[in-house]
Amino acid sequence: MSAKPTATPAQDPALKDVLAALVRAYGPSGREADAAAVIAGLIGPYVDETRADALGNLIATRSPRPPDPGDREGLVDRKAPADRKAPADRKAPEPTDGRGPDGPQRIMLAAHMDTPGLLVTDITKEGLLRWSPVGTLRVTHLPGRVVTNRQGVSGVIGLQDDVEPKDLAPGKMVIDLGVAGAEEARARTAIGDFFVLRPELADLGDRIAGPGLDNRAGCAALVEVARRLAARPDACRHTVHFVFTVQGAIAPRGVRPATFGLEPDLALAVDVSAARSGAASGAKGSDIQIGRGPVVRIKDATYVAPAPVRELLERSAAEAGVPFQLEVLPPGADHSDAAGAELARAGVPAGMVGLPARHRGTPAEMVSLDDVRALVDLVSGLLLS
Amino acid sequence: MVRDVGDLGDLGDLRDIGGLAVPGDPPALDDLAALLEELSNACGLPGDEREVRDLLHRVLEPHVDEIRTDPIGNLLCRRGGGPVRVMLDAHMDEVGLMVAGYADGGLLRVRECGAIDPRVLAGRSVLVGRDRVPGVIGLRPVHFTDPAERDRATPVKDLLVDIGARTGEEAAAAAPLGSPVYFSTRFERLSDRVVKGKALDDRIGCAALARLLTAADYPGLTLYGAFTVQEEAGLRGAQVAAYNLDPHVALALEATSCADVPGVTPPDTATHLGAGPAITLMDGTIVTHQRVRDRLVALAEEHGVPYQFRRLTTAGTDSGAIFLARTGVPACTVAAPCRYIHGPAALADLHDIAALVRLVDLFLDSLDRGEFSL
Repeated sequence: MSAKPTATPAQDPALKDVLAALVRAYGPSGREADAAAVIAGLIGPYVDETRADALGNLIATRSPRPPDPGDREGLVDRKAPADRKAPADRKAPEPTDGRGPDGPQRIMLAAHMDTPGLLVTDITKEGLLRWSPVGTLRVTHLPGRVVTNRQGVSGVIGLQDDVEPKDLAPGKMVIDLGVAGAEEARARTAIGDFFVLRPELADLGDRIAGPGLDNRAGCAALVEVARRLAARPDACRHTVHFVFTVQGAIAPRGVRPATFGLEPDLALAVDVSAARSGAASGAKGSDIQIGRGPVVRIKDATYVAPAPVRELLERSAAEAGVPFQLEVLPPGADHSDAAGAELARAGVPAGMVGLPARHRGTPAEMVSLDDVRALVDLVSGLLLS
Repeated sequence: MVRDVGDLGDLGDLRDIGGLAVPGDPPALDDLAALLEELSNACGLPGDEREVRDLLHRVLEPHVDEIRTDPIGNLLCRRGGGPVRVMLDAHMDEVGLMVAGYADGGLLRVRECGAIDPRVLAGRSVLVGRDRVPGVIGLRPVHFTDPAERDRATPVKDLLVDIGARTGEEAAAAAPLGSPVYFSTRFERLSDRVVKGKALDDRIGCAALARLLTAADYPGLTLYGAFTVQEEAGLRGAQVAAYNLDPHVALALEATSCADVPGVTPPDTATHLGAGPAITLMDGTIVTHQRVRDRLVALAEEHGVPYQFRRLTTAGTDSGAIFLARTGVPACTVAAPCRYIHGPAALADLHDIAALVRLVDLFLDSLDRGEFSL
């Protein structure tokens, strides 16, 4: 583990713009269509095809370019490009080297695009909304927060009187739309509607904070990776599928059918890792810190990195000159799309690269732009080598 | 404890939620009740659903184009051969107990199969094993217990089932290890609308699905009925059934929690008996597909079919396994409210089940006519 700073531009306004657009996009788990449209618009110029699958996963694909004898710089292998063999003829992936030493591969980069939300389950006669949490929201950070639905209807999270802090629970909080009664509430929302934390991004210089940066920051990183590939059109001999998955904030769900359909040779999940929150004791069992580079996850609740994948990521980080942090989480802690991708069909070597984030599950999740750039360096380095 | 039947009258106002129009005529309700009676009285723990499957096979064989049992015991039916593949799912298994050992004096130790509240067990009549040996879940007599013991539920591992055997050998011969233990509740119709029985989760779904497979034709559809195994053991059967059938869209037909009883106030009631089928928004395994869900709501509104939303967002049903099959399947769950679900005797309203059938029929019809595509 290294703490050396990455060599990156001091300012990257484009990255901040991408993040701002992504944080604003509505997309709680199960209702990701708007977010998918925003991402499709951002990544579209850098890929050959974007499509949505039956569950709403957004799949953006960049195919390798035909060989151009005039520009072979940076390639280590010169075998015939591109043509995908039929699945039946394909050799089993080479787990000893996820890079596949002798030919182009299909590589899937997955980032879940959904954010936590609040599902309206009932409307009281006073017009207050009962709700259930969608994904992980820290209840201690909710009272008094402003939430909004897809149409922009806003409300405030109100707490029942006489609730002790230790008894905080979703059932003791309501969404208060500021209406006079149930009828007025029904004009603005309905049972089954999804609210999200008001999307505001705090620009703290190199660091930013806002709701849903888990995992919109990961989505932004994938958009940047696509841009890097497009900037060197002949340099990647792999077919790269950028997959923005649904319901991944709850569990590795959308990624499973997406992986089934794509049959990749290697899958990398790009997601957020809980970082220590400054002076506080921080995430249990984790020593991940913001600003010290991306995370290579070794173990979480449902996943253990296969050694070859871990070594591939470590090697790629070293080659890209990127500092990284290894992460071993205690039993039951966290999950990523890697665990879902890994078990698709006959199995897929899968890794997880994380962006350290402080204050996860709160309205002000904080990530470092330096970490985002370093993660992009790592992943694009792996694809371009 | 099952409440006195007379108490149901107090909930009359709740039954009118959603402007309940009586779906189906009395003879149709009688047919439905008759089928549900057979299904409820049949027994099938996860892993041994044979009795239920044989019954469904017999009922459905004359009405479907294809019927077969898959390698893990799902009963898969097909009706029609249209271009749109629709999977309707209902699980055949029920919660119960399993013989897990023997205690002194010929008593049986048991473990739960599926989620069971131990408070409902002690003192119940049960049927043990393939031969349905009658027995009782034993309890120390009230004279020998102190108040503290009577105030708490005995954990399942400490319960003993008594089948009248006098020795361990006799018990093991009559009820070998792994024998299923079923509630002995017999199905009854408590009123013109309300029925009582065991295993209504999910024999209600099985009855509804059987009705749909024997009723209308949908020329544009390949309608698959999947009666699945091992839902209560973790949505297992549906996972492979969905892989096998590769549907374009799927609905799980279910029975769901209903706590509209004294002591529970909205919104904690989850659903209301008699207020129509409950559409799932989200549970512990799925956020249901937006367009499928919205279509069900629109059809119910348009045709005056009563419906409600399930105001509970935990637990899971087969749609949570189906929607992740292959490259993904738009899916939703619709369920009849069921009081005392997972207990020895549950209650359901035939009107809810009839409305469930009607709503799914409307959905299939709208797919068939191309009014709704995915």
